[in-house]
Amino acid sequence: MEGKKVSDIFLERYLLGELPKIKTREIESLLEKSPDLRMRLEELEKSNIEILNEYPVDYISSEIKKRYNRSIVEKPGTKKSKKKIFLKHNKILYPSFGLLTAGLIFLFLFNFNHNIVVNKGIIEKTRIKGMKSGLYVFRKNNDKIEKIKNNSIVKANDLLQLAYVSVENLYGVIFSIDGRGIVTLHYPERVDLSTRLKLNKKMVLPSAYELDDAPDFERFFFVTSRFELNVEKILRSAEILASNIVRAATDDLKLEDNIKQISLTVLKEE
Amino acid sequence: MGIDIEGNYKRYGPMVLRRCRFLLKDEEAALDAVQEVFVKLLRYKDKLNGDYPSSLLYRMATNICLNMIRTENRKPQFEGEEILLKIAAFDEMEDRMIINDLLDCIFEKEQKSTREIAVMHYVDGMTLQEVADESGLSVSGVRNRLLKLRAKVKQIREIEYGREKSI
Repeated sequence: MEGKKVSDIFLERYLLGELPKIKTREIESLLEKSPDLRMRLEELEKSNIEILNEYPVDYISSEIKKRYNRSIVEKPGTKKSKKKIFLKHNKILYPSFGLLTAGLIFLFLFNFNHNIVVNKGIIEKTRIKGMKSGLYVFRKNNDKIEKIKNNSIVKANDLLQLAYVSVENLYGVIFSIDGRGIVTLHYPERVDLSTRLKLNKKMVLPSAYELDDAPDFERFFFVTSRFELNVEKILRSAEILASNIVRAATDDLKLEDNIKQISLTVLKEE
Repeated sequence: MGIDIEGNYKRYGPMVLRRCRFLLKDEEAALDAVQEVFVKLLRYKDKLNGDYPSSLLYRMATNICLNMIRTENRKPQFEGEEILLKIAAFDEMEDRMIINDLLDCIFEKEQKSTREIAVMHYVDGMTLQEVADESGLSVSGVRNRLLKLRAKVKQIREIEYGREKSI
């Protein structure tokens, strides 16, 4: 084995002390002669620290156990407890399909020039260099799809479609507060669902929705974190903010430091 | 649960993530695969033997990633990926039987699948001797497995492209 040709698996196992003795001695002999091999080993040690910092033991172990528990088949007759949806008022939801979806495909193609795959009602975008995290709102306007900017004018019965991009944070919640102080959850679709996001892709939510006649504004929030979010807790913060309509239109949510938030406001036509 | 997931993840998690990153080239998918590896470890905890868990976990990560690649049915997007996609798609009766109970086979020290052998040689760059040592086969046994794969892949390529090529 020359230094450069030592396979990754052997170096990994050497670092772990899990190689047979003969192989261990071979690698030790090569390490003495090959600076490249020594550098590779150092990079592995450094990478170990980086990975455990980025994906801490407690958090990932907890995720693994949750996943394992979900994978266990339920015995017949047991009930799965479901938490109630934290909504005071139902917006009308429509599936993203047909003309609206086709229009969004066209809009994204026009803006971003890349391939799109439709997968189970969610339009996935290929990754684009230099993407930034953000929340997008689109409106169907007769046969056209238009992208809504912050403080755009909208009206009751407008059909809106939300989309997001997350480049860093794996988890997110999308909700809105309207001029009546009503909080509406958009993603995930229920409070008991995972807040896992797709990274580095433009993701359209599976449901479009029709605005009601709430006055003044509707403000959409995209809250993200590297860690799984507690949807009910987020919505409670939203309800507190929504209890003061003036603050709901302008202030940030009170959230923990590791949670980021962005918002986009649409103004209601009088 | 009876298995120290925290300890195993702390010790082997970084190695598993590096492996998944290398094969999948997608951080989110790699993280997904890492969690799958340890979930399977929990599931098969009663069959775990004491020899070199790193070797076992590395193989599990490789196979889970190959299955994810096959499921995605994607086009090659980076250099060297084409061979990996071909290996992931390789489907021989013997392998199908192994893959169906893949982890049972791993834990019971059955022969490594042709896919694993192909990844070790063509993707990880291990010599035939190194592959033989890892897989418990002879060098000629490894060579035969790879010839079978190449014949199969060649057949697929002939059908796809309508002319002869070799890997």
